[in-house]
Amino acid sequence: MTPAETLAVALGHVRNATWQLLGNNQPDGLTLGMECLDLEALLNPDDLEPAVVEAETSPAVSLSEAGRLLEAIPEHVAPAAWSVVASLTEKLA
Amino acid sequence: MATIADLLARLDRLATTLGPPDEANGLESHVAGWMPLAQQTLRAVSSLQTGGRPERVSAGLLAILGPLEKGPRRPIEAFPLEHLSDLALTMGAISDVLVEHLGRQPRPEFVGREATKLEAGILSAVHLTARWSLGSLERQNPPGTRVSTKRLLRDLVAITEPWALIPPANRSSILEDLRIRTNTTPGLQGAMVGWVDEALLVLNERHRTTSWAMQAIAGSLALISHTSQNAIEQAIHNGRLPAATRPASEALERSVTAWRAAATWPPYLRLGGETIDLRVLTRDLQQHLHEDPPRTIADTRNLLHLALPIAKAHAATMDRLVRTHDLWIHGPSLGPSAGYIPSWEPEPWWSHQGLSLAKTAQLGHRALSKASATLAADIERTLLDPLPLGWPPARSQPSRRADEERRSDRSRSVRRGLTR
Repeated sequence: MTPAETLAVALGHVRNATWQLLGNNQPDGLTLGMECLDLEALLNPDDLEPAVVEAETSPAVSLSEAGRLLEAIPEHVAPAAWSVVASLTEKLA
Repeated sequence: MATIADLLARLDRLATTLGPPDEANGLESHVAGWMPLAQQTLRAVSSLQTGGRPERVSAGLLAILGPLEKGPRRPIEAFPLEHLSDLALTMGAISDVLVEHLGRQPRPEFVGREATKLEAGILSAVHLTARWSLGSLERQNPPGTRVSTKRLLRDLVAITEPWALIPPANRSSILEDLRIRTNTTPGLQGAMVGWVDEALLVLNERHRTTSWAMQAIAGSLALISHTSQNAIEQAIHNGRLPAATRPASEALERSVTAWRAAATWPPYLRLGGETIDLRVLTRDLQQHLHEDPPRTIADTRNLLHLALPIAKAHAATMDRLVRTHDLWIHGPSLGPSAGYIPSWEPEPWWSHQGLSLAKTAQLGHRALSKASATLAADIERTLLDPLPLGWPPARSQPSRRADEERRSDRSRSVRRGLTR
């Protein structure tokens, strides 16, 4: 996969996590979903078309999958995104 | 940032501390002072929708303030009186806020009684000032054209007296929550104004609208509703609001559910584009909602008042996006019957994937609007019992003894009538 394709798949996982969090009816799902949405904007400043990937079992797994892919292309990731990924991973864990 | 209540208090303070009639300054200083004061009073009163046709309802007031605003034909050389200039400045700030908030399409709860109550607050200060000016001019007994100014001031005193007779406690209006709208205000108010301005820009300009923006705006509206609901519940718990205000809280709960659903876009639906400014302002707003939530009911009402145009614009934009098939859909999610579509394509005419998002946005707008109206109505019900009419209202109420005497006289006369 090219870096752009990897980023598109990572974006797909982040979008899945947003969808799962906003739609899960949990009280903290709204704020966590909004944080995930913010991460999507941080990762995609150039309006890259995201990939549509199979949803993981939970938002935490989706996010960890996205994190794993992003680590492979650090030069394509906005520095501010790392702290958001870490913070969200911790909250979802 | 100053609310209309703050500005009204200042106006009242200025009008009640004018002091004894001013004999030192001539007629021209009074006339020059009344020109801007009359202008700003007219502007403020005209922006209030008290019901009926304004040109008929306020005909008398317009007929007096109009000539005062125009002033005499010959140029005036004197400086306006400082007292009157201060009053005109404060009145100008009130009219600025009113024009900004009520200019286009005021909320239904701002039309009628609430507008009348604020009008009473404004015109009672004008009444006191007109009395003071008239008193000053009568002591000077100026000849010639000065008579017309005195006549106008006498008319103004007479026409504004009914407003001044209304006790201050009966003039309290929800319009007093309105405030100067600027994004430089510290705290939640400033963050909210900045976000509202950008969100309106994004929603109203076709090429700025993106799926990310639609999600972020809907999610922010859910957070605003959630924060407002918490503030109302807290006020009920602390006894600042009666339990009867619960319907407003319930409407906000429905608003949270609906806007959260409207923010939940499926991953196979999108609308591309960049929204950098909105992202920064959205984060700022969320941070303030979390750290600096509204502390008073007036602040909560103001938050909802600012959010309502966004809710309306979001629902309208979402409806347009769905109706005109502007959304992009990931081909495989359409199913095998759609044929081979490997990637993102504009949504085909027969597909309506965004319809549920548009419907939930409409429900959210309705719930938020209901919450705002209910909260205004509930506040009105929870106000103290109206005070009896009387002048001067606050300082010397008629004594109890006089009341009793009057009652007994009346009952005697009724008895006489029946006996006859």
